[in-house]
Amino acid sequence: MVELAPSPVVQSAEIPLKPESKRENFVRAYRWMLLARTLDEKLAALYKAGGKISGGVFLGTGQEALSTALGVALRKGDVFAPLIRDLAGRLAFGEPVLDATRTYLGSRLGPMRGRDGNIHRGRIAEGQMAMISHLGAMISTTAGVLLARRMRGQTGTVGAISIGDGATSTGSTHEGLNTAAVEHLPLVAVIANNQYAYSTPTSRQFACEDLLDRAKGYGYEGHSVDGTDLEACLEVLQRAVDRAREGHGPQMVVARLLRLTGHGLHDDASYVDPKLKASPVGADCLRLAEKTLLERRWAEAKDLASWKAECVKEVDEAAAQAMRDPAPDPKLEDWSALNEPEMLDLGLATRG
Amino acid sequence: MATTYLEAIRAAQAKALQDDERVFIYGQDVGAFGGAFKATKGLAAAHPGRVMDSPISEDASIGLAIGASIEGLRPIVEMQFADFSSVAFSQIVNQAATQFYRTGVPCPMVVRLPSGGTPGGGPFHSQCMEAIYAHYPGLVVMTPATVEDAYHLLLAAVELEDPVIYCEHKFLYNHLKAERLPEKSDLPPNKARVARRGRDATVVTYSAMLHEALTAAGDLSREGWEIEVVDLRVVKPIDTETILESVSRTGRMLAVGESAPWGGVTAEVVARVAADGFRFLDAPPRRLACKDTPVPYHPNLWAAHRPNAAEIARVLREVLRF
Amino acid sequence: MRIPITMPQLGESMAEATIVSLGIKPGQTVRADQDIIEVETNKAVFQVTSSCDGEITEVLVERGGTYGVGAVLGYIEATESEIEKRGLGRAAEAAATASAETPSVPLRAEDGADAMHGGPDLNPPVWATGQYASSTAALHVDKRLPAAAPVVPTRGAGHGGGFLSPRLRARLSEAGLTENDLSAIGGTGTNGRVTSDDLERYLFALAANDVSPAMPMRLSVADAMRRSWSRPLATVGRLVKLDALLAHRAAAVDPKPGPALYAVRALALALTDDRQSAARLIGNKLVVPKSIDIGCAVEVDEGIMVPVLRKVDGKPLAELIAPYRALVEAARKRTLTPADFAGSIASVTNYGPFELEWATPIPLPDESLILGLGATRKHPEWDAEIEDWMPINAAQLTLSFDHRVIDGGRAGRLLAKVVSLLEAPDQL
Repeated sequence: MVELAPSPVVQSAEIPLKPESKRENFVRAYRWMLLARTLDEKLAALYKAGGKISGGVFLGTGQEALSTALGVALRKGDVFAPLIRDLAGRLAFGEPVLDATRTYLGSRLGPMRGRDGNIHRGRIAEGQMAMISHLGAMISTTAGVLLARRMRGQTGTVGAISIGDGATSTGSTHEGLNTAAVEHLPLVAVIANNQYAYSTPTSRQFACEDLLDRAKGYGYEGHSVDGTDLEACLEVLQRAVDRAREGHGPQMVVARLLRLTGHGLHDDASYVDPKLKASPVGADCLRLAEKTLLERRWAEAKDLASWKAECVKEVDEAAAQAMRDPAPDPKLEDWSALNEPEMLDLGLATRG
Repeated sequence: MATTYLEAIRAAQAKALQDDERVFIYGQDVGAFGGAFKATKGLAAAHPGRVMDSPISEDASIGLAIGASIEGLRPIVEMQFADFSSVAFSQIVNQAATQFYRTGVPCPMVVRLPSGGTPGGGPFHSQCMEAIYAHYPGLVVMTPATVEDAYHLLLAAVELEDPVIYCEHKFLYNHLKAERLPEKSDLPPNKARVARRGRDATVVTYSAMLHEALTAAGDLSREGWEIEVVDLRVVKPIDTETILESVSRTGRMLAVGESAPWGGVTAEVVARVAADGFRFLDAPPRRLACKDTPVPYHPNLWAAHRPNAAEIARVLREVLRF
Repeated sequence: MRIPITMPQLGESMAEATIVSLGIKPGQTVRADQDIIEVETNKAVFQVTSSCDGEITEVLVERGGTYGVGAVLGYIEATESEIEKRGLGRAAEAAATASAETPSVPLRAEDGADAMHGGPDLNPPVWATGQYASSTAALHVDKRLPAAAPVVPTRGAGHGGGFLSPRLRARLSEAGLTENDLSAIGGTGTNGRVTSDDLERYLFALAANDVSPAMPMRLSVADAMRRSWSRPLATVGRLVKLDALLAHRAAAVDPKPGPALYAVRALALALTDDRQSAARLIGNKLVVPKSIDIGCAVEVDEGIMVPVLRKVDGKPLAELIAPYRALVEAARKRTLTPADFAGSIASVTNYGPFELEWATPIPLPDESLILGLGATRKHPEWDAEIEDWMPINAAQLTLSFDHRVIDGGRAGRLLAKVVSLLEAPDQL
């Protein structure tokens, strides 16, 4: 008789921290945003220097407020399936900066060991799902973790998935959202409507008036938020996560914002409508958060400068460390896609 | 009391649910209804909460199973028909198959594919998908041909620390019977079985075609030929050693499969025999597959579409006379 | 609908043909089976005919141009009923495909060498099936290749007669046998093919005999003979009078040259006038060494060796004695090196010591001539002066040659030259 072992995913017995205060909460979130922006800038610089980063670099510029708000609303023991522009949320949820630099720079010591790169990283055992490129795929996977936890009688954790307006069009997203609702799972689906999927505007992505209308259709509680407003994001995401945690079933958050970067660094985003850029939706959430900090006297300019300096230092060290790391060595690879050695196809392995 | 191939699949799942708390079954109509083919009959009642109806969402069902396996459970997902697994194709090959390699976290799960044609099944309820999945690194693909293997390979699949595509043949469900289910399998899951000994030629086959091949071998023995028949049991990994050992004795080889002729398991067998067994060969290694069309609906067309004993015997005579 | 006029395959070896004259121009009406284009291959001039009644719409070739088998030479516009009547449906389809997918200029053979790609073609002629039109016209083919190149000849029954399966070859190698050994086995397989079972039975039966291992020298000679025997060898012979030679030898100081060395020197001098008669045919080239070095057959235990005496044409007989003796000595002591065997233009063997009068020696595998000297005998010769038969010393001289390289006449002239030199040994 095989009995259930404890969940391999790191669990936490911690009682949720009451947010210290509105200010502390805001400052903490702002500093995650700042770290993410700084790290993105560093990755961009390394990429443009050439020869260091293979593949692409995909930034989260303009989406830090929403992403961070999700990351800080989650707790250790929850499950988070981030998407492309969730560097801030990943960091806030606990991903080390070094994981990002190592994965981008192809270190053998990173979580993906050079087998996968850039944004396709995670630490599954710590609840950080490692996204695949196929949009919507991680929704049902996250739901599966939650279903398993319920089957083993474990409650109190939530799962969060992050997608954009583009992913809302895939069959996988539909199946995943629907299945999670059918199973009444504590899933928080965060949709960053950043106006473009690569170059495709939302008018070519969906025809409904508001994506939030889909919440009702799927049987989710729906939440709408201005993705440029950190304070609003913190409030709404915390509410959504709490509702899910308290057993009110799946939650859907639709945030309105603008991607302030190309799809990747290789894309100059020249197709973005200048009117959108100039409109409130095109505002930079980081600048707005700084404005709020200063206006409310929650921080002074010198604080901002010193926090930035700390971020730069941490990021520079993580980049330097990753650059010093050994690269993956084909000779040291076991070249096995299976975990059970006796099931390996030796005939193929010997021929390479 | 004889056990059918289908009953063996049900019994294996019952045993897995009984012996291993991690196991649960997810799929369309698998719960109280007991599955479209009754492969899960009675299991939901015996194991409340562990045999669940899924929405008609093959993609999400596999995604869900991947997530549950991350949590330490052992999901068995029943696809109502193998044909519909193409809806879940992305999750199977992009996520389940890559996860261990990418992240180091294994993805143990079983996807049951009721496969292969039955008269009247038509293009969308008759497909064999083993070649498609075998092509992807990171998956184990099982194709049991006997009642005993249906039982023991399914139990082995649940045990494996890797995602397993378990292709069960619908034509065998009720046609194939065994006197009893042995306690233990006589072979580990990664070994092919020599189902019939012979000296003049080797047929390498799997799943329902095993029985056509055995019939052909019986017919040819009346003409004085002794045909050896190798049942792959598991097509990925493929047991090249047993195939080559057989061909080294017979010098002639025909690979038979029910899948489409372009590429696939039979092509893989021929390639390996040609590459590694060239010096054994008295005749070119041959292969026999179904016709290169979708599986037709009408029983007359269906019967002619797939290889059968007479066709296997005809090709074998060519191989023997070469 | 358009019907292509394609270069037909006439004769198995045809790969291409050159346009001699064009009997058609666009707009012209033609009848089925009418001669329309005259072409010439390396073997014959023949006419390409129209496959149906119709009107010529395009002529894609020019006089003097060379085009591969299957190349589209032009198009005939024919009515549907005519196409139906002539069974040209597939040709019409091919024409439609060709016009959509291939350049309008037909594929041309660039030079004669490309004709090698054509090879023997066992496909049925183009008009029987229309296959050529569809198979070549529909393909995008590199224009530098002749149109015939992509049409891979279909072998007929490849499994009979001389076919050796990979398994049979592997088993032969394992048993230490060569393909030659199979000639002793009557095959029971398709078309008399030797099967693996035939071989096993043969090996089993052999075991009933006295079986002992052959010495390496024997195997080496056997292999050389097998390779030599791969050519059509012929032998010519004539009498050589030796009284002058014997007198010359008797007058010589010790060490005296033996009869074989006289023959070596005579052959070398004869070859200086006609080195090409000793050429080897390799592929389509004649290959002949630059230096006249002559191999000398020496019998040793268990076999024969043929060390090489260098630059025999440049040294008088007296100077050849020492190096010749050194070679014979080294051969008998087995101290020859591979360099001592390499590069001879022809060889000499003296079978006289075995009391043999006549033989058909076999040239070495990498030579095409061998001169053989028989035993000296008294022969009657008609003396016109005294009008009676007189005894003379004479021997038979034979010359074996590769008949692909030279013919009997040239071999005879070369042998005559050797004879004249031996009969007047002062020249040596």
